[in-house]
Amino acid sequence: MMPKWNGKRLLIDLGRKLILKEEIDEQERQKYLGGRGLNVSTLLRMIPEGIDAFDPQNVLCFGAGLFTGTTVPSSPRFNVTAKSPATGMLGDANSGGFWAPELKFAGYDQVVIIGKSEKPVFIKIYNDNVSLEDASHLWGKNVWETEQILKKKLGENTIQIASIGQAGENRVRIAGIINNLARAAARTGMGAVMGSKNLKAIVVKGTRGVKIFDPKRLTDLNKKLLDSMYRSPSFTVRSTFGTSFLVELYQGMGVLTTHNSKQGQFDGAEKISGRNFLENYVVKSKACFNCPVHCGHYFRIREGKLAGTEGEGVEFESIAALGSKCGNDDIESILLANNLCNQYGLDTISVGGAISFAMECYENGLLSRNDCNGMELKWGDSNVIIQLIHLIGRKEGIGGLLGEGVARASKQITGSEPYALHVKGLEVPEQEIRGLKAWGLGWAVSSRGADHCRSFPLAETTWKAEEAEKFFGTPKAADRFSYEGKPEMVKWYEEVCAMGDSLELCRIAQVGLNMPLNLLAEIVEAVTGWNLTEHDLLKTGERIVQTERIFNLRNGLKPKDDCLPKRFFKERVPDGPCKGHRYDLSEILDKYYQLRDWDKISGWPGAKTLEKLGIEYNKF
Amino acid sequence: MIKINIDKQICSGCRACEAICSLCHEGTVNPLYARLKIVKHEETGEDIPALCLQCTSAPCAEVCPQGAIEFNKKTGAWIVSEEECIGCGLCVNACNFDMIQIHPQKNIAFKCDYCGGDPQCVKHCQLKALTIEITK
Repeated sequence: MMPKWNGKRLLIDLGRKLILKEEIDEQERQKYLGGRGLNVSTLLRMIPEGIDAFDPQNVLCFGAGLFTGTTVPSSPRFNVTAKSPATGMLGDANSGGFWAPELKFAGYDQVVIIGKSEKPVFIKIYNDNVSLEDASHLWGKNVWETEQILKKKLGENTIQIASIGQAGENRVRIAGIINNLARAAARTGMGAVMGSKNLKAIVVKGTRGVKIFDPKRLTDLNKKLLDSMYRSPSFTVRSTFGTSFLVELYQGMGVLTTHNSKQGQFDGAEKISGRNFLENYVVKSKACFNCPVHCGHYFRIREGKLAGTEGEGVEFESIAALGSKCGNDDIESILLANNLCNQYGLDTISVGGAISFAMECYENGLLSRNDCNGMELKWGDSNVIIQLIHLIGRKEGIGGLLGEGVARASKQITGSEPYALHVKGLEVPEQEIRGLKAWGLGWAVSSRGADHCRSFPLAETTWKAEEAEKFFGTPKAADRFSYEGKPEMVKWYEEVCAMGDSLELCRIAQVGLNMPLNLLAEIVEAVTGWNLTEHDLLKTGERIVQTERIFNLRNGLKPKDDCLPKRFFKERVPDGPCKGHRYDLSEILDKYYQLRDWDKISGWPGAKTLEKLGIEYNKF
Repeated sequence: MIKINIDKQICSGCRACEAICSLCHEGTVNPLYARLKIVKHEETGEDIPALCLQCTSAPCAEVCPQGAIEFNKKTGAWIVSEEECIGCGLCVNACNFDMIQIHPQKNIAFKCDYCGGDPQCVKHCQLKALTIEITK
């Protein structure tokens, strides 16, 4: 058996051109595991209160997971965390692909970046050799060009690159960070923070390998895990369609966001369906590192005016954000738009939110053609969508305003606030929450703003009433229109997901395919030698959620921010299976606060809870 | 005897094969030690498994001055004898496909040995881009 697996933290000060390596404290790692958890724990120590997100003192942290780079299936991910320029609170984005495993192979778990470089640079990490390299020839290039140039310049096709496009360089607040051309750490504007530091890319090559405490035991446990994944009811659909099957599923349920969440069903749903995508555009399946679900795809448009457009993708959220949300039924334009967002380095969800916001403003006479570079922002106009993405990426014209995000943009357009759908400054994702009550609560209380991944309450639509009753106390928890049992459900999923994001397991594999928690606890032991139970793991998830809460409170969060856009309170769904439904947060928010031990006035967790979780309150 | 067949059209590029190969042979996960490689062209979406072809007249075996590379009739793989190999690297030069390398720690040649007849890479390929064919 190998000695206890360990990795290091890279601390890089871009302003002073300092590169330090330090051991990660083992106790901190046992409490926060890695990835998302270790990131927030690190940042809470390092980011001064009250700074602007573009201040050089903002800390940008890339964290690989406890499992990343081992043979644990579907654990290739990393989180990028900093103070968000969109929300002013926790900025946190997650991406897959192959970048994080390479970081682990090089011997690092985390890269912590402070300061601002005088000139554009990229960080080069080749095992022990870490350097800052001139990126002036890359500045202004999009992500795809950047990856191509770097691979050629460095003479290596196997390097892994995380980079920003023009959007991040331009500090567009909805800019993300891209790796492997099409994997995106998209949400909360982490690309803009990277751009504000004059950091173009992080290039990694690693050949030191990841040590494992008990390789034989890990292999045996992984066999069990793989078996359980293959036997999961949704393995077939997820491994064939990826997330694109959700278009048809949500349409049938009446929860496919349409026209900026005015409705839950879209006339053009069939045209942008997973079936159309798979049958007419998919060339093959694609996967992240060591993932047997291979939910990704490579697509190619073979004929028509967009013939030759090809790339990796496309996820449900992007299809809906650039499709039904904007009234757009032209699937080929969605594929092109997805490529453009990956090239510019933009969050497709926020882009869709911003464009549909603009379209609704235009519909209501709040924006004129003059305001929109001569364009008529009509619902469903795919050419307009494409043009707007270019303008947003380049921060030109109306794109400059929309790229600020809907919260800020609506302040510049009188009367537009009702159409700016966000929570805490983050644009809403693609669920019609009036027909998915648990997801709605998740949006309201998520630590990064409106988000569908912090809590991923699949039980609401996939569990039987008896199961739901056993677990959440009421059979109505399995009724997507009911509020009962939802606070308990959201709390539980938030902890499962926070823990998962720190091991850096993929949400689709871990939650979508029901990875057994007790098996994960055994796997943690096989990887690290630590004796953690299933209960310990869940507690870690709770600890991470509460630590993120403290981060937000220190950055100005108030209980009134745990809210939803008024549209969902005031307007009833006009037709379809969710016809007549509204959202009423009052019932369940109080209950959720109780479960979290959050004070109603201040929003702070109680001292007993922090003590129980071992969060050193006074330190913060 | 077996042969591993490759279908590069369906390979998803996940590299699970590299990970398990490295773990089985070296006890650590490190693509440097994987006996096979997935050549990825992300701009075209191509993923091409590159494995030792266990050549009929293996140049690596022919060129070895120690006779350290021998064909195993039971498995169908050319095997490097760790005791006999002196790490001269002539085999590395002889192979046109970069499928035999000198181990950075042990300083002897290493290559795909078909895991003694039960290749782990094939076992872990969910899409069956790697499959076994039983030959004579």
